[in-house]
Amino acid sequence: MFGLSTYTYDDEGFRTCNTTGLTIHKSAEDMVKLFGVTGIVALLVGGIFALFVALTRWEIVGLLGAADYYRYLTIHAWYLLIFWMVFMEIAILYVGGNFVLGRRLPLQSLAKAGYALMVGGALLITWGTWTQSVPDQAPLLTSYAPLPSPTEFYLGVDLFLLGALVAALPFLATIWREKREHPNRTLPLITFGAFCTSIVAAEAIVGGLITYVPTLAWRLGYLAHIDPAWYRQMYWIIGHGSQQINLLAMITIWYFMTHVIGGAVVASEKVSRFAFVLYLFFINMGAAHHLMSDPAVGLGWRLWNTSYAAYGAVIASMIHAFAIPAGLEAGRRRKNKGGGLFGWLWSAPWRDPGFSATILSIILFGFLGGITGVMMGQMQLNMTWHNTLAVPGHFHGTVATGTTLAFMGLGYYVVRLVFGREWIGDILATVQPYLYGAAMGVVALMMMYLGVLFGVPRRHPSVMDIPGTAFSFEAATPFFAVFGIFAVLAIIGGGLFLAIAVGSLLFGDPFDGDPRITALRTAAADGGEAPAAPHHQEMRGTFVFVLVFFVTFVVLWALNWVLLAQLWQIGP
Amino acid sequence: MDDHSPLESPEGNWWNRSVNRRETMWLGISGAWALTLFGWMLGWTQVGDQNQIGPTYELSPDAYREKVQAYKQDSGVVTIDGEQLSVPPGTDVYIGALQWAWDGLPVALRPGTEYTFHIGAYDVQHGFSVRHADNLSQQMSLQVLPGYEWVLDMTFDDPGTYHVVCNEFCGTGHRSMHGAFTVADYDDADVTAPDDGGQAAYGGWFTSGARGGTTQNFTGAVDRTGTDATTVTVGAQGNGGPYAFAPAAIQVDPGTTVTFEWVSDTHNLLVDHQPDAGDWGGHTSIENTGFSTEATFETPGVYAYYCDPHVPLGMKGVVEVV
Amino acid sequence: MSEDSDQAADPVPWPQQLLDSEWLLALAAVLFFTLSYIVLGLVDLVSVPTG
Repeated sequence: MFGLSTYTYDDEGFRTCNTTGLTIHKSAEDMVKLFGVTGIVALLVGGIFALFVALTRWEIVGLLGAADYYRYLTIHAWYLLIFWMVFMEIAILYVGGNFVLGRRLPLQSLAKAGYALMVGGALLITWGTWTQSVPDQAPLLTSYAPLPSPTEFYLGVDLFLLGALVAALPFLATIWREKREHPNRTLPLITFGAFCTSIVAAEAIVGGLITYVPTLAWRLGYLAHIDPAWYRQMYWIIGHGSQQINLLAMITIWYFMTHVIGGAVVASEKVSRFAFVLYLFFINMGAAHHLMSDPAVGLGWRLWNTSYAAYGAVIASMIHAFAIPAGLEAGRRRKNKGGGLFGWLWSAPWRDPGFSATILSIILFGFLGGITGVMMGQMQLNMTWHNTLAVPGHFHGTVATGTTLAFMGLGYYVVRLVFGREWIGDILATVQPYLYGAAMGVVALMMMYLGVLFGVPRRHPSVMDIPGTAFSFEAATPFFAVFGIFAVLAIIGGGLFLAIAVGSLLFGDPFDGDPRITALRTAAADGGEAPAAPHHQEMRGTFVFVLVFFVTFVVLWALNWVLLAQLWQIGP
Repeated sequence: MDDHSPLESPEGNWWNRSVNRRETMWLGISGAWALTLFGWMLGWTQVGDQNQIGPTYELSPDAYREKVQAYKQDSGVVTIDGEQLSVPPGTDVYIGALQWAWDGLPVALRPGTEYTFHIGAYDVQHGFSVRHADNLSQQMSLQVLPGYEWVLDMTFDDPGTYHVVCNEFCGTGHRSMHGAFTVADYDDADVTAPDDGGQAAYGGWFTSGARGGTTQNFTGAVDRTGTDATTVTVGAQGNGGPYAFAPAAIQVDPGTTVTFEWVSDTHNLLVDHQPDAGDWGGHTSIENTGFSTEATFETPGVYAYYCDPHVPLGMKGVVEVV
Repeated sequence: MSEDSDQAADPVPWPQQLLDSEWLLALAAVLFFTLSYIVLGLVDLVSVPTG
């Protein structure tokens, strides 16, 4: 597909990857390329619109007027939170399933049909939003009933969601066949992670269809009334669930990348798998985070769901937060890649953008995204976060920093291992993840600061000139300036990734293998006794890191409650 | 390939492999933290002062709008720092969110008093986002839905101005949706009572607090001064049928002759109260269409009358000699 | 090739069998979510009294 790859297949359509050792079939690889490249195109569009959005909220520039702002914001949101993510995730399912298991892609026509529906749906969403006019309003991401959005928008969403479901079927069929052929074999951890990702995705998508099919009927006039409380409860299954797909896909990639590039091993199969199962059961309950400051839903429902069943899913996150660095530490120690507390980490390939993007993703997701997600999900704390700029701040920490970095890292290796092209740009490729991660991290921090400490609202083109009033958020201006500058830097960092990735596909030399990675493979094979099993390895470096993370978590959490306590009395 | 790889199937009974000591410790820390997070959130509902907990009621947006209007009509007015603010009749505060304003605001509240806030929307979803003008980090937001009335108690200890912005996208006027309320220790003596131009007129004669039901066709006294003869129709359409005196209340000069003309059947005129020196006897017999009678009113004051068969429906009238 | 691996004759521990039953886990998870989030939430919504 695309004719850009340097790899060739045998008569059966298989090839063996010299870096990962995986057996890959052309049917799966073609689809990985198709969905992956489409995801990159979505990143480009979303990034261009990011520039308009950022330069509007940075009011010194104030690029767009109110009417245009909401339209541009909608496109920015859909292309990055949904299209960039979901196209990549379908590709990740095929990698985690078919590549890892070395199987052909079954039901290939469904993969293509799913793709067509997704693209068609995405184009309709774009068209509906772009041509929006009164009485319709810009949908934003949430299109809350009863504020009407364009009919094409609702139809586009239904088609996109259906397409994603259809595109996931070949992956599910792969797992089905693998289990039938080898009933006594345990799926590899990455495949297991991909499977959990697909079920979380299916839940989210079905929730989205439950929301958007009746809403389309309402917009067309077949349904008289859409209850706004019901809409919100159902909508957030796809609204938050779509981002939980990102979480699971990203974590699956973390295991993959740390292993392939860093030499990580699995610290404990049972603990990591148990964590994935906790996600499987509990993670989508987090949709309730968006209903904490809502009428109608009861206290018990809110507490039970917002806590992911008494924080079962948070235990899962904390498990992976340990297991992944621990796997890297144990793997590298076994391969004599470093002694002392952190030698295994300093000796890691920090110049490899695939590696640095992955590690930055882990750190920034954890500190910026994960901690804040738990905090604003606590029912009472939510009042100080709800609909402020801190909410986009949180998800720019999770998705725009964490998951996007992970997908960029994977993207670098898709260029090498799927398309067989070496990276162009040398030092630029090395620097890009750091530039993007740092800049976007500051952007996320600024938005959260503005939201929680100044109460700056989200979904406003400007807040320094509320018409007809003397009130403004003047005091927040310096933070908006930092936000604006670093947003531009982050967009440049994103653009750099696109330039390198696309440029490498078009102009890169054929990838001849990475001697450093090959050395990792043979490290264990050079004489001497077999190294001790992972759980016998020291994991003290990781332990220090997670303790630092934990202390940060506790301190930030406590500070938020102190801030809440200064609020006036609300409730019984 | 490589052993213990996430890309390979683990062999044998991997469940039985022991877990690294530090990983086990971390599992314990994670479990304890999860319990702490949950317990704290639960506990705060009992001992904390900030809990967005309150009953919700389902009602049509129009019905909620009417509640807010009734509340506004019963509200007084006070001026603080040159700004006119409404004063809630009791401790209930009603706020209606609409495209693109906050109905019910601005309002004056007393510091330290617990108020019962009612929030609802008339049209689409809105965001009730409140902050103290001098301390922007003292802020919170609640979702406001059409079709629902959310009732929450709030007590404001810090005096000052509180600004309300809408932080849920509600259409092109979203950014202009601003309201405010003032928390200050105002003097009761400075509060102007609610305007009595409504049903409170004539000592509440036209309300259901007096004899019979509410006179819906009463919209204020009609000025019939400047003439010595005027007419009131009896049994005009109103109050859910041919059950109205039209106009329900008239103001006349002393010495005016009022002619009562029946335009439908089965009505009479009974006098409920009149000035002490008045001597109007009404017309106690039941009459039908076409009948008419007249009376001349000399003594200034309020003459309140009604139709006996239809007073439960609000068939009441007033002749006010001014 | 773990030095801890058991002989083929040893029974597989039941938690491992459970973690290897992906479809069962998926079904249970979806049912749990439907109950906890959707059904219980809808119960709250339909029991909102009229005002």
